[in-house]
Amino acid sequence: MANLEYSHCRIAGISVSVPERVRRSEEFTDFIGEEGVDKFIKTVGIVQGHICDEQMTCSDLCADAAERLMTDLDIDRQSIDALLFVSQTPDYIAPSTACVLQHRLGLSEECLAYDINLACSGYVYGVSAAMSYLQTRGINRVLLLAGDTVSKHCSPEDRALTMLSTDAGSATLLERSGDSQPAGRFTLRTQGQGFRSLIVPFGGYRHRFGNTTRVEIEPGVSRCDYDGYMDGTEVFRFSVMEVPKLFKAFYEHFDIDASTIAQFFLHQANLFILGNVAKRVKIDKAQLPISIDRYGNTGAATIPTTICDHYARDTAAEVSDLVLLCGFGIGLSLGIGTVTLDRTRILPIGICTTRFDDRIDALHEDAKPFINA
Amino acid sequence: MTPRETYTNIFVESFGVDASALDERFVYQCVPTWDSVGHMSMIAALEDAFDIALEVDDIVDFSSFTKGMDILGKYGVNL
Repeated sequence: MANLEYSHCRIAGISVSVPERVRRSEEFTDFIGEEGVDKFIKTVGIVQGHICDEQMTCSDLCADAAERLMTDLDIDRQSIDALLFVSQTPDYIAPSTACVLQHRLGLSEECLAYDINLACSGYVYGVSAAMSYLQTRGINRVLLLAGDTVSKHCSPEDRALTMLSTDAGSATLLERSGDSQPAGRFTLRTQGQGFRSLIVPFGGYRHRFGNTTRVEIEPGVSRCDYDGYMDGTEVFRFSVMEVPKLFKAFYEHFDIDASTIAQFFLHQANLFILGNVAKRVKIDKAQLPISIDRYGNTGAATIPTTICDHYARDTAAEVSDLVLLCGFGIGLSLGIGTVTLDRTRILPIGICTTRFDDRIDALHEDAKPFINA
Repeated sequence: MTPRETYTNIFVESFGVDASALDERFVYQCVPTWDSVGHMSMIAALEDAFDIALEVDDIVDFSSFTKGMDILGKYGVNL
């Protein structure tokens, strides 16, 4: 059983960046009609979200969030020992986007860096992985970058997915502390038999090349082989049945008194699922912050986005609270944890306008001869 | 309004169809509006109208107009 408990570490700060472009659900009126949009807003809960252009990627959003956080906390970049990038929308098939980010952010070459390929559950896994590194002597600071450009994952002609999918990137700085009290407790689970329920089927090495022409699968839904696919029924069943079981197992294993938890930050899948899960695990609506209405479903970034939106909507805040994190989705993967925010600096959500130029067109020109002439 | 009228109206409003279309042939995805979002919207409306909370299996099994009537019967809603 993946039940994990960590001490002697703290979350120093959290920040989130989103692209400038705001897409309102009303923009889909031509696609599904005014009444359809109203029902979508009422049921799924998304009024608007932020969308990247072609040139901006998840790593740009995370880098922007990291720059703002490191500046705000006045962090010496050479003091960061590990960089974890959690996303299912990396810049490349290879190398790890984390390696590029180590360079872009000016971190030490002694910093370990790699990607974690998860989305909706990814932030919980990322915080747990970061805290696990901080249990060892050689690691004092971990920069966790988690986000997704979910809008790029799906067909614009797949009405259920495209209206749901938006973009954001986050940065969370964790560091060692002298506190021996539990800083984080986690239960992590995987149900890989559901891997087909949420999938981007082509473009990897199982199915490298597919059809790029979108064909109508059902009325209002056209996809090509590279577009994301979601079995809505299975994802709903998984979310509403398995997440409450996860809560129960977590509470029981760690003997958690839910009344001690200040806020419950759940993955912002959609409002209907959130409401159903909250009802089944008895979360008071006042303790269930919602950001999906203004930021949509941003994959690995929904939890930090909701944290920043809740604690720092107008101005940066220093927060000390016991909070619960719960992520669930593609994999199928799910994770839950409580973390103690201890004077954690939380920044308002920022707007990213920078795009990294990787000079990919000059890739071959830059190649040096093996032997100098 | 009778429970049956309430039930019918929720289908009419959720899926934008005429009441005359609602029979045993009215099933999930038979019209574009009864997709996963439409399904969630309809279930939420039924839960509000009849003050019930459907079990997950019943939400997933709610696959047609007529089957829905049987399912609601389990919750004391007799149509």
